[in-house]
Amino acid sequence: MRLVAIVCVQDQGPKKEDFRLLYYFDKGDGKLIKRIRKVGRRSMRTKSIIREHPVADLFEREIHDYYGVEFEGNPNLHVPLFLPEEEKNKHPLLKGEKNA
Amino acid sequence: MHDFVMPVGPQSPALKEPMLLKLKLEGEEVRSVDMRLGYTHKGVEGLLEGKNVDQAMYVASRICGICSISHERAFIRTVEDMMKKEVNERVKLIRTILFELERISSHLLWAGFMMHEIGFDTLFQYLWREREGVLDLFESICGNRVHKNICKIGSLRYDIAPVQEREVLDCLDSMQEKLKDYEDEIKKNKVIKERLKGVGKISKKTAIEYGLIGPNARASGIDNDVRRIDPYDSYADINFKTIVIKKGDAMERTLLRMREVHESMGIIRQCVEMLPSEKIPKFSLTNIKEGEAIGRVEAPRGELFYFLKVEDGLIRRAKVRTPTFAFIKILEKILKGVKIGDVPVIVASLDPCFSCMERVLVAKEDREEWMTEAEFRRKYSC
Repeated sequence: MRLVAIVCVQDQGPKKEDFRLLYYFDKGDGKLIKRIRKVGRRSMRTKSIIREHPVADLFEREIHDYYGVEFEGNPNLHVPLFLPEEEKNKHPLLKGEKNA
Repeated sequence: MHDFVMPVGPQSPALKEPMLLKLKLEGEEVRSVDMRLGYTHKGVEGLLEGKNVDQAMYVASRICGICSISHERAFIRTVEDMMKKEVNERVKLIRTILFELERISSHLLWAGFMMHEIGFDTLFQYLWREREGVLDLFESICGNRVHKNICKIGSLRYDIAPVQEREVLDCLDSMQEKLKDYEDEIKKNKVIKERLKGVGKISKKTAIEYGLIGPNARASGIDNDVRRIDPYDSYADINFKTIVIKKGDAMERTLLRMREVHESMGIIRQCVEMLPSEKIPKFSLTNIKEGEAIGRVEAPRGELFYFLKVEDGLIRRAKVRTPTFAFIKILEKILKGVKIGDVPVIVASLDPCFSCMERVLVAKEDREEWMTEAEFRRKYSC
């Protein structure tokens, strides 16, 4: 199965503390398979899938840059990808008191 | 023990795209690669949040200059899926024509660059001369040569007039023979063969492991084409071949794209022939209160993926996964062990596109205005 994308969604409303990580896989038959992983706002941690899907490295680093989610097992997670050094740990898409 | 680290980019005559490759060299051989992206990052996903669907479409269309219609189309496919909206046959066919014209334009642009990278500037100019004809068609049909902005939800901004149908066919007829000659030149020219054959080889196993997509995957023997496996517009009703080659080197990637141009021409001719006389529907503002959907299309560089989440009529999350982002990781693998002189050719042969610029262009009737994203936000309060 090919990993198509990982989408991080920060839900608003009663459960706004949580993130949903949506993993889309392509089996090659035209339909995408969706797997959902919930990440608590307090822990902000989940497991990396780069062993099974090396392409997930960049996807996970992008989510880390934008939202600050930690992917355990990804050795490149803290290597800057998109954002400049001075923007590190600012997480521009994270909604919260600071970034609202 | 490595001899030294050589940075290539972000501005380098050897790379046409702004990326930084830190190459650890031992003599002339590359031992390992560190990659840094983000030099043209402009925060489009943040810019899309808080806009309604009609406003956001203009932003989506401007994400990439080369594949502007692909971004529009992927965005619209996502929204139309959310709305369960059906479009009429004429709209589907015109969208397909424009989509394939864009593929021709992109492949010729890339082929020109490829020839430039290996020092064959004559062929580079010839290929771009043919591409001019396609850009003229865009100007005639869409009003713009680069950011076309032709698609609307459920419809199109402009219809194609019979005289424009003729223009499209004439353009294809005039370039067909010439492109065959150029393809023959690529196949036979000794210098091109020396520079491209066996260079940057990607095996099918590596391609699968790194989730390669689009023409790069098809040149490594993977039959992956969203137009066939998940058809949209008129692709299900049209006869076309998905070209798959097994060798996976820079030469095969070049020839595959040239053959895809001919395939696109065949698709366009079929679409023009099938165009019904019905009118395209008038478009209106979109009314979506909430929803979550994904959409994907086969852009010239491969699968382009969109995710949209709408709440209270406004986009709350937009995710754009461009083809380059899905395959650029493979560079770390295939550059290992190659000679430094082959690096620009291998990078170019994958056709990467980091086109998201930090600025946006605001066109106002007879004048143009360039500004940064922050200035744009301030001025237009978005």
